[in-house]
Amino acid sequence: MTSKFWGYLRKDGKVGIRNKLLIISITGLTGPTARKISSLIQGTLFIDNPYGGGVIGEDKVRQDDAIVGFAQNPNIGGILIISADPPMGEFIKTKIKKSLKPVELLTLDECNHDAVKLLELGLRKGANLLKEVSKNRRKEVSVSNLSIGLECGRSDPSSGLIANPIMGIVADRLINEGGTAVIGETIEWLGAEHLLKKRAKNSEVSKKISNAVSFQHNFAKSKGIDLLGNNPGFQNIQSGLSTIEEKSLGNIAKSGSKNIENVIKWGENIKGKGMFLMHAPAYAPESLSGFSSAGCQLTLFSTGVGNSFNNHIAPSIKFSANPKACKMLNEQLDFKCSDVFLGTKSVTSASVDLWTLLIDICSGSLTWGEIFNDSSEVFSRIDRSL
Amino acid sequence: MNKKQFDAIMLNSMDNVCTSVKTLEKNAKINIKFENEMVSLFIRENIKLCHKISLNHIKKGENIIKYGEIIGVAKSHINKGTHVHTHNIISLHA
Repeated sequence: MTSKFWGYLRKDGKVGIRNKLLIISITGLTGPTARKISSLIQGTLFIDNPYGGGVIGEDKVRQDDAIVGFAQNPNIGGILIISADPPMGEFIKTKIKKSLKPVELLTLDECNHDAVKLLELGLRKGANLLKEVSKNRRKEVSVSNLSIGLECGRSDPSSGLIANPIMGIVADRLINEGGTAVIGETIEWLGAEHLLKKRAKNSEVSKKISNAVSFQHNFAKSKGIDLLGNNPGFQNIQSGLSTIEEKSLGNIAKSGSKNIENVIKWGENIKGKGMFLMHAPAYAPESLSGFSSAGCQLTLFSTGVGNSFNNHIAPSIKFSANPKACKMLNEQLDFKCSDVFLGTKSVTSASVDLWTLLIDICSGSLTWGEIFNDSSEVFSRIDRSL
Repeated sequence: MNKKQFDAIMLNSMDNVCTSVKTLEKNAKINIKFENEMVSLFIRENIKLCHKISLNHIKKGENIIKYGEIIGVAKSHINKGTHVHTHNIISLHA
């Protein structure tokens, strides 16, 4: 029997754990006004693409795919696109419409580049969209509909010893029950890639893992980066992590034990079920945004000493096993497992508690990150603008 | 679950380091938890929370093992019961 939660069934067959109106500014010029519109309409999610016409080539494809990925995320019930010019807006709107969600486009062009006019029309359009989005209701559905992103940030050795293994057990259970999970942060596979490769579904996936790690490692080397000080970073080292291998071995513990189905690109939509790897940057905002764009509805986010950042579209369940963090960060940590670190509770028992919390959050209980709105989505860049 | 108090955790029988679960003072005999067993060790240095301690004498150039896997090599000789960190170990990818 699979576990169930209360989610929003979308017309495209996907299931959201939230029902948000997304206000997305897709050009840099419209960002400031679009932000005002979002702040004046309750409960909307705002995403700001600070770039625009100068983004070209592979970067342009990545940017457009991410905008569409964010909008098509099942947690989004409707979308207001705000663009400086009509062609870019229409292009994105046509793509998003495939999800069969209500979508509206507003351009600065049709307001004669009068930001006050844009604000007025944006408020009207946004308010009407929200009225429509709010009609959606939750239904009881299977956890097999879930895709979750697995993240760790501001880690210390308690992450790798306790919090990440707990996350790994939860990920295994989700996959046993028909769901999907993904880990990113490619540079943090370095030194542990032999363990990931053993779990690759086939030799092609195994090769993709090697290629991704080599690419990221060579990139660091080509820029003259000494990983010590960068990854592990200053805070990691201070709290006891000594090398990238040590950090990586702790990092991959959160991926559990299932076969690796495929390696996908940053933000690429996940096709299929099971455990996936995302070849992506390691720093939390960029890493988490890759999961939102890929379609994850939720993120599990372990930390050692504490990390206040969260995923914007896919709520983050923040947790730590570090006794100091558990004592001090009451309104940041949704789940505390320092009792496991100190030996009064087992990893298995804590994983059952985390699973129960996951079902509860997916059914509508709020995370601290949502309550404080400590979140955003960012765009990952490859190259420079024209 | 072993409820006995412990000061550090060891993860794999191959490991030559353990990780502290509390702040530890030098010249103390500490208990290290490994699965359901307890091993004792005399520590010669103060150890901060979550930092690593050597379980044996480790020679310069020898691998440092945690999780049963290599996490780096010793840059210098490391005495048993001392702090293992960036001052005396280095990544193989550095």
